[in-house]
Amino acid sequence: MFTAPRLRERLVETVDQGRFKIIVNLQGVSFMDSTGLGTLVGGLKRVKEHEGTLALVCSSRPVLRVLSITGLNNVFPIHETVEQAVAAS
Amino acid sequence: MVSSAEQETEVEELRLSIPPEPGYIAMARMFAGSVARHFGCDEDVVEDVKVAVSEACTNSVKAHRDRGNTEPIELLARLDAADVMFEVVDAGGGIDTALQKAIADSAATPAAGLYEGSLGLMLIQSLFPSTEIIRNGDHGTTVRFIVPVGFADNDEIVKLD
Repeated sequence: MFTAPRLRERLVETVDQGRFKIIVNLQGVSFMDSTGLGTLVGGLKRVKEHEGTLALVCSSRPVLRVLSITGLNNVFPIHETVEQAVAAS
Repeated sequence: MVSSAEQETEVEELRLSIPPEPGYIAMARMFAGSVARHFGCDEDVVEDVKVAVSEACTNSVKAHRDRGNTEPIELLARLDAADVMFEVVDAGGGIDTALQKAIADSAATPAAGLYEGSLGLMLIQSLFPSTEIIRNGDHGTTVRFIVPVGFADNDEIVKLD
């Protein structure tokens, strides 16, 4: 709830700049709640309007667990490193 | 802010009061994680408790803000025989019962509808199926969930204050 607005702002800004293939690096994120998830879903919806993609880089177990519980691990491509995410995009 | 109702080695109830501001949710999360760890929960359960308390507090902060209410949000952890009960008690406008029923009745995951909001209660109930959401008349909501605990040796109990 505290940091999600900054992420939302950055995602909106990136899409507004015409960049629709986005990789969000969550490697420094040790905790994510539903506000963060909702922000990522919002970003995904925006890029999908332009046939874009939004992939995640994440290896944090707690964050992966929350993604799994909500089924969002089947919605976002998830990679262990930025390099892997770039290669897959 | 943290108070113990019993002696150090026989702690049965711990409480934390936080102002209804987003910046204090992390404090509630740390408190809940410390309590769960203190009572012997393994690290996966500790993380689940942190998520559940964070979600409940996020809803409470929103509820207080909607009402312009500056009263504190209360977090309570009470040790029972083999469980620890967590409660987040707010004085907001109370949960929308229709929304609560829709969430309880829904078999859909957020992924199915790509929901951006209202994921919090679903997450808490997914992590702790025994979760109760109690409307306190016209004065707020209590989110309560039970966590089974495993006890470490008493010598390893860490004083929280």
